[in-house]
Amino acid sequence: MNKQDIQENIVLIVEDSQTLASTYREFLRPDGYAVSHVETGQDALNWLSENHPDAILLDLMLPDMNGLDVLREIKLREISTEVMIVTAHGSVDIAVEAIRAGASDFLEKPFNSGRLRTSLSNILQKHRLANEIEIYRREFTRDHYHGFVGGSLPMQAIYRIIESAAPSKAAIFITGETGTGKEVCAEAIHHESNRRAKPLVPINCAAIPKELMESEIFGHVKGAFTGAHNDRQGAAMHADGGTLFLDEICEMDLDLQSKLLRFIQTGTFQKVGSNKPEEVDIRIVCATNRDLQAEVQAGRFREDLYYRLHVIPIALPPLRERDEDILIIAKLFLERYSQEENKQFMGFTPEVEDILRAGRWPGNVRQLQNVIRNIVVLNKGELVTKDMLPSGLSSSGANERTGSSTVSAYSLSGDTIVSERPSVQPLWLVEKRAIESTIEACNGNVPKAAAILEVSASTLYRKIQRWNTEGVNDETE
Amino acid sequence: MNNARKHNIGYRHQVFVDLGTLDNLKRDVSAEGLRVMLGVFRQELAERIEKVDGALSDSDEDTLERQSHCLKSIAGQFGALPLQKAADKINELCKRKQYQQAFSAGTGIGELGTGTLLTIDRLIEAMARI
Repeated sequence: MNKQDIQENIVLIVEDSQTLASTYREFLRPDGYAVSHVETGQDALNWLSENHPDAILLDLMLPDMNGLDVLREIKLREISTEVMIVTAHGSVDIAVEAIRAGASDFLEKPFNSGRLRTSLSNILQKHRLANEIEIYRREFTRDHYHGFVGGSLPMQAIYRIIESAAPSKAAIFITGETGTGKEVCAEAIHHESNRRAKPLVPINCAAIPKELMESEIFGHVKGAFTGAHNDRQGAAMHADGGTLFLDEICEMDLDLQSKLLRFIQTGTFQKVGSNKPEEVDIRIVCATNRDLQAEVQAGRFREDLYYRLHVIPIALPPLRERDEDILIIAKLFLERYSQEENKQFMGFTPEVEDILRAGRWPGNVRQLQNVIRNIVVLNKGELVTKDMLPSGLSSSGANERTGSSTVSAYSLSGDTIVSERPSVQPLWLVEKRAIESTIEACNGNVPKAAAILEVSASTLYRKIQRWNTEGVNDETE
Repeated sequence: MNNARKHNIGYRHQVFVDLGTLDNLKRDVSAEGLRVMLGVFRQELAERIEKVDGALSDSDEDTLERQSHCLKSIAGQFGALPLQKAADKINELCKRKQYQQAFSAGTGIGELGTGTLLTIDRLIEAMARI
């Protein structure tokens, strides 16, 4: 231990004898500890309520209580400190008992300076190492990270990759099944990077009609196309200095892929309808739930763009591979939605916990989120019981990892949960049917349907895309 | 009787105080540090001896056990070995609940204490002169 380490240490002497306390203080003076002294056990406990010593020299025979009781209280309060018992000659049995109770060492009176300083240095070294281990444990076993929740081993690896990759400008390609948190991952990368003060601009390539996509990304000038009444900045310009997140990039048109490639290679682009090159400093993060290599082989994704974007791949694990996270996430949603819906749910029965853990969760976190919301909205109580689960979960087969889809009155597919209650339909289903019937009434014209429904066309495209990719089906009743 | 010169603390009262112990303490904490510590020790020693005397007079078993324990500890730290031994004997008898024997063993501890205090006084004076 070097001098600087020693000087940072705080030592509390609990000793009712002024003579012995001043002697110990003199013994320790050369090492530069910050030494405090109290005379009684109660004073020690009071002092510990407001101070955090690295080590305590604790006399066993205190005027108001036994030193062992002080030690037990220290352990009960989980105070992170090393306790050295100071005992009189002939009290070794008690000292052994103290070691069993959690003391780090003991000294038998009288002792000299060298003995005290060596023993104290040793236990402080142990304390320092214990603290370092705790710091590493906290750093490497986080149960949440930015918007992610979960402390499973696969997620620890993800957190580490994000942390390492975020400061770089290298492109990041996020893959993962739907609902695994690709956008959360992009947000984590952005906020962990030194671009966090600038915008993160997300573009969902599946939600925007391909004819508008180029303008969405690069912007346009007035008159560039019908309806371009004014100059408009695109996402690339908005993201200058920050991060551009291209979600569902496999949906991007091949022509636009080539423009994106040129933009990545040169750092410049042209607004639609303009010849003037614009230069921006952005970091690109992409995501897809498709097999990117298969897309390249099928000719739907440019190979050169693939290699430009696929610099740092992050493969988000599906929920079924995050066993220990399922309940943590479920409890978080239960708490959140109970609060939102003014319900009293506090947790799950052990049986429900087993069912949740055993689920295969094809829709991943989003599916789990929907299940919990469904339960909270449609039920009352403090504990979620098996009968509250959607039948796809509560009945065997439908959601179990080893089982296949079950044929029952109500099933679970993708993030689809269908209620057992015939008179009540989940909001998402009502919404889906309303959207589908409106699009049908508009002869498949999505923008027109969007106008009638008073939502943006991109909202409808996004929802349709999600239903398609997640295999959401309301025809299973 | 040449311990005083041998240990170079300037006095020769090894009957009540082991000069070798004090010499070691001086090496640990410096002469000035030892002088300050002896002052604290002297004050507490007087208080503890008075409390032991009081407990003996009042036949106060609890106080006798506790004060003899404290007296033993501080006496041992400063090499007041005869006093440490006497206090230890009283304390052990108290712990075994042999209080009558403890009270008997306490006879004379006041005299031993007085001798120790005088020795400490002279040591402090001697160190102040050095």
